[in-house]
Amino acid sequence: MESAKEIIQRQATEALRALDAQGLVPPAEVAESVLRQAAYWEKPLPDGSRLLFVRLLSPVVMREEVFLGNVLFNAFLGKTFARAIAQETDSRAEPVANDLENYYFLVRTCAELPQLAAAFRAEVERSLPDLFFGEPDEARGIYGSVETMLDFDKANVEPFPVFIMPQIYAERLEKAVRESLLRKIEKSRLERNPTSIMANLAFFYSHDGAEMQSPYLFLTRLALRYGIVDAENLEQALNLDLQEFSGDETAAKKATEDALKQKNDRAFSASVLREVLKKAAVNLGVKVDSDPETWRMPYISGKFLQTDEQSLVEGLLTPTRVGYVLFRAAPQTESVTCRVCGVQIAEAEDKSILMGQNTHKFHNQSGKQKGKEGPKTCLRCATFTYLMVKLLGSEAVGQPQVPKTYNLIFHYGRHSDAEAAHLAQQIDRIWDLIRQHRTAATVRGEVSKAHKALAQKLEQERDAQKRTELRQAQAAVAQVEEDEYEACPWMRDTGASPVPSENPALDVIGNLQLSESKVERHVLGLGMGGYRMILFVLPQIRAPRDAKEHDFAQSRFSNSWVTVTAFLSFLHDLCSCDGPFYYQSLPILNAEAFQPGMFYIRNRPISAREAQSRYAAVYQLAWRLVRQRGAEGFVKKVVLAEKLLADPLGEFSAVMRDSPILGQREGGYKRLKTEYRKDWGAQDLTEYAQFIKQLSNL
Amino acid sequence: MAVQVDRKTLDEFCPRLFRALDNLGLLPRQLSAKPTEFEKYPRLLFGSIQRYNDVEAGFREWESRVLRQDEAQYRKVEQYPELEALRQWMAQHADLFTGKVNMQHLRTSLYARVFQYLYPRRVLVNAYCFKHKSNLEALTPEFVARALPDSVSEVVQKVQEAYQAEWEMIVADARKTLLDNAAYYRKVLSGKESMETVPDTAEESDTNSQEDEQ
Repeated sequence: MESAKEIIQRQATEALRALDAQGLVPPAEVAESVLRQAAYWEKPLPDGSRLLFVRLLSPVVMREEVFLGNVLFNAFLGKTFARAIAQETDSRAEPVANDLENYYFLVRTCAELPQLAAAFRAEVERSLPDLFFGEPDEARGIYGSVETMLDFDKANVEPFPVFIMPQIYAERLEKAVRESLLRKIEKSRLERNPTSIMANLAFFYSHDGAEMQSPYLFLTRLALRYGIVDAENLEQALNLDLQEFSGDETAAKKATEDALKQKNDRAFSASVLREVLKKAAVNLGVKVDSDPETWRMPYISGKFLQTDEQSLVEGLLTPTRVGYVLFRAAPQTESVTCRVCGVQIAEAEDKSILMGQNTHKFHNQSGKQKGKEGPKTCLRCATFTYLMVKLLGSEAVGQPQVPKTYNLIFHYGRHSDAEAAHLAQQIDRIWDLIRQHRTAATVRGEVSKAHKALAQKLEQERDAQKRTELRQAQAAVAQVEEDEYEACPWMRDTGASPVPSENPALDVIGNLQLSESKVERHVLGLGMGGYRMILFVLPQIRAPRDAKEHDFAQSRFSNSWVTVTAFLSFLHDLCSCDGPFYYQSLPILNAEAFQPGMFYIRNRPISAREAQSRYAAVYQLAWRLVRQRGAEGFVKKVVLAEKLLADPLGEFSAVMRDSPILGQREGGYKRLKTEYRKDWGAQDLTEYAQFIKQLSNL
Repeated sequence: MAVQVDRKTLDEFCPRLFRALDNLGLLPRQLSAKPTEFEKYPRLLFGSIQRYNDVEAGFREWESRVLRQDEAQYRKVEQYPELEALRQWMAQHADLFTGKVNMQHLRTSLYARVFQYLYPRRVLVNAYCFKHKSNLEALTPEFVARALPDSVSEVVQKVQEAYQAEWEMIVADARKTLLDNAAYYRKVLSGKESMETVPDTAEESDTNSQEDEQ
């Protein structure tokens, strides 16, 4: 891999060629400007126009609650800037390089920079509704969809942050919600109570608190009070008797609830219910279009921001700079500032859907606020959280709805869009294989147990049957392991175990809280001489069932240098390029932070090769010694790996003392691969000796 | 971050100590011994040094104790120079043994270290005894020099590969063990003494019951 300077220089050459300015400015000068983070320079061109070097800077807030959203927003700004310049007369912009907060452009123009900045601001304002409600469009820096945000089951716990957007967006929001809702109804199999669809309807279209609190009441009223759906159709969908639905509202609501929950021997018809729900969404749309005052999100319309769109854009662009033009300096204020960025005035309420599990917790601004009520976050940070929820969705942790959490891994690599997509698909496929392995291994374990029990009872006939089952189960496991080797061929070469509970990287993937959407991956920014920045957004590690803290396993993973290294090594092998990987590090375009074949973990660089040779023994050993599987076993393995790293021989002695080897017949740790060698008069413990040798070299 | 210990010097010290103990017959002859049996005499030495906070005094107390052991009675005169050499080496590196971090590390890592030392030597001796079962002539110095390790090189190839760098030293130690303990190994070869107790070879219990599938 070339150095950062060479890559940028090559990109600058292409940009200059695209602007018909080759030979007028040396590409090396452009590359140097990027690496020393120059903000602006200009050169006159022979035709009277000028060549501008412009840095678009939007600082990233390094807080977990908003980081991903901030990165996505900056990607949106980067794309918007290029588009805005192209719309100006006689102006063209070509991207040169970018990291997460700096986007560098070469611009050929006759206009002054403030004029270009104004055009950029106008384009941001024009595109902002698309950022909030539009479908994914990487060319415009738009990620996620409103449909992802509708993944909530309860309407009464503020599951959607309408309180961070201006009133003028209400129309666009309602339309996006309606379209998403119709798609969701169409896709849903309606095998069980459609709580999420019902909660979506009640949240956005209810007229009062009672309807919002009880989606069943709202559905009943849609038929009986508002005539949005036909009462007979609803009766048919819910398999209700005529008299049940013609009585009072409370009884009808109870009947609806029982039917949808399939209580008291009731059941509903999925096909008819789908039609009823679709009709409800369509007819509500008709009502909204004809009488928006009464029907456009009547109960929550008061929650929208009273500020206008311009003020929102101003807030969003506050610390942003185009070249030397600063859009707006952070206000000097005595008011409470945002608890996340600490820069702008807090305007958004402290709600779980924005601040997640940290809502209502103490923070430095708490002292200035008498009560817990009142805004805690600025609109810029609130928008970042919104963008995160739009990309990843939210989840209910107990009662409140909180944004889903994630692991971010950045990678610079020479990959096309298709290759980047293939990488993410590979991770999805491995996840599928791990699940298959887990299922097959469980079956094998159960059959093996039954087989042993039967063998003891000498039930020959059934024993033979069990033996066949056992063989089949073993074949299934072997097939999955073969598929894993096919997906990750380097594992066979390095001798890595295909058993997920014995392989740290596979165990990490197996313990991710993957949902249907699986791995989110995005190519951010632009190509740099063929290099692209790829962002892998992976869900967090699930906590064990009885863990008190939601991040019990995740925090141990992210704090474990060894485990993160193991996982990055796996990704490194998977993509088979020598581009750097970043975990809890900000990829910055400078010579130190952009080295080929490096892992940056919490801003500490380590070469991929060294990581593999140095830590492989530690994580391979830990993953083979701990018996438990699942999230609990994962945590134990991480802890053991860290202890082995801290005191290799000391910890391994403790492991050996607690293993069924040498003079011990039982122990808390699994035995490594051993067999009794009669010709040695001893167990073959050579693998232990080999590990001791590797550990003593750490 | 790894514990900051003087690992290089400790790595040099441990084989010296283990060799002295093994030559005195104070390390288990069988690998199926309990961890405490492997660690007993090294731990006594560390305890003595720490109690006096002085290498010389600690060593002397330990030395008088180990030399009174039954196993050491027959060869204490012969092995004394080696013990004395160990004392001198330890006295030269006294700082190593009065430092808390180093001693703590020695104590915790002792089992792995003694296993690493003893395992190839015992395997080699056992393999030799298995190969020359019933042949009492196999314990004559000439025969041992000729047949160890050549007669078992195929059998112990795996161990040899793992200990490539120090194999010659291991072979020399194994020869010495066989000859120094000829009376014992004569019983082994004639079948009067069991070479090794066969451990429980049952597969480890199925771990599925301990799974935490979610």
